[in-house]
Amino acid sequence: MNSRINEQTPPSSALNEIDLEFDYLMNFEDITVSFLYRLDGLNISTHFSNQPTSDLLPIITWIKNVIGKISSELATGFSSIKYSNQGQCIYFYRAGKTAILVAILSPYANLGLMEMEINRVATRVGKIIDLDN
Amino acid sequence: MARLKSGVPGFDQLVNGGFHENSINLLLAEPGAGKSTFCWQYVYGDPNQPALFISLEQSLASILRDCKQLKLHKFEEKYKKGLLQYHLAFSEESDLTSGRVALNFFMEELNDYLGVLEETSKQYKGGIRIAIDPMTPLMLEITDLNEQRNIIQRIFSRLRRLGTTVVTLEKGFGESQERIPSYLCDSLIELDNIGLGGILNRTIRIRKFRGSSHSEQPNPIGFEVGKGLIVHEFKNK
Repeated sequence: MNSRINEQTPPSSALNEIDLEFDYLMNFEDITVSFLYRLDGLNISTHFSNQPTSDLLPIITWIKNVIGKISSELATGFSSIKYSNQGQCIYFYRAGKTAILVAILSPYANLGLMEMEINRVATRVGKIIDLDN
Repeated sequence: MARLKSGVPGFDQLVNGGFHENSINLLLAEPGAGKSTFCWQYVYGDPNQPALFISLEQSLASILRDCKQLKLHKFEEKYKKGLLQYHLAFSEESDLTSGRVALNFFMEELNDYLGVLEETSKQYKGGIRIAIDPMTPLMLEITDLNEQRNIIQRIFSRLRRLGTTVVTLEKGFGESQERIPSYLCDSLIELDNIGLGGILNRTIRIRKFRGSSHSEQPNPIGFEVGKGLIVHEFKNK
């Protein structure tokens, strides 16, 4: 039997678990948007704290442009990369073997606390993602 | 416009209900991403609608064996009922490449059956279900881009008259092999396999779907015995 075939596929329940992790993260007022990217730069999911506003667009476009570079930097062994752009902090965390968790923080965010929380969520999301299907 | 169910659990939700009638749907895929499985599921997606499976390299015995392993018994059932026709555009005995054999089939042999197939297709919503797996050898056979565009356009026009088609194309043979069919098709679906394991290892992404809104981001896919390829949807919030 082909090794890629599972009798019961786990992804849908895994996706729910990932969803819950992002729900937890988005409860923090300091986080404006969070994304899950695959290591090859494809955006997998996006979570907004409020209705997206047009001022977010330049930052989201910027993330789209740098995600490939950041992906290769994270692949060299870094667990996280932090940028400041237009007064906002953008955190990139490696989430398992295949994904990157990205969070845009508000200008007045408690960076120390957020760093810990994002890292925690990225680790948990990474564990869910790395479940081999 | 009415839609045809793809037969792939979770896929139709990504494209607002399924494939458009008499459309050409191109599946651009990396090795091991699930393109052939998608085609098998598509051709037996409606047990009563006639289907034509054109393979440019895989024998029927090999397809039936693979379907058996995945417990996709409906493929064989439909074939035995005579509602699924299989055509292999390749011969081990011939010196001709599978691309040349396929080219002869589409441009010459198909003309002999065109009338009969068109009559049959008129009786069903969306015509006949057609799958071509993979079209890559045909693309490699036509090196001149102008000729390639002209021939692919003519093949797609004929297929639209006959029914609703899923065509697969393998990634990695250069952008020029992918570009022309990508423009000429009605929908473009991309299957990726990054080969790192985990639930995001294989994903499906709708890059183009004429006349309809569709999911914009990649969604994880997996294989399940008895169901085949399954699409799992991420909910953006």
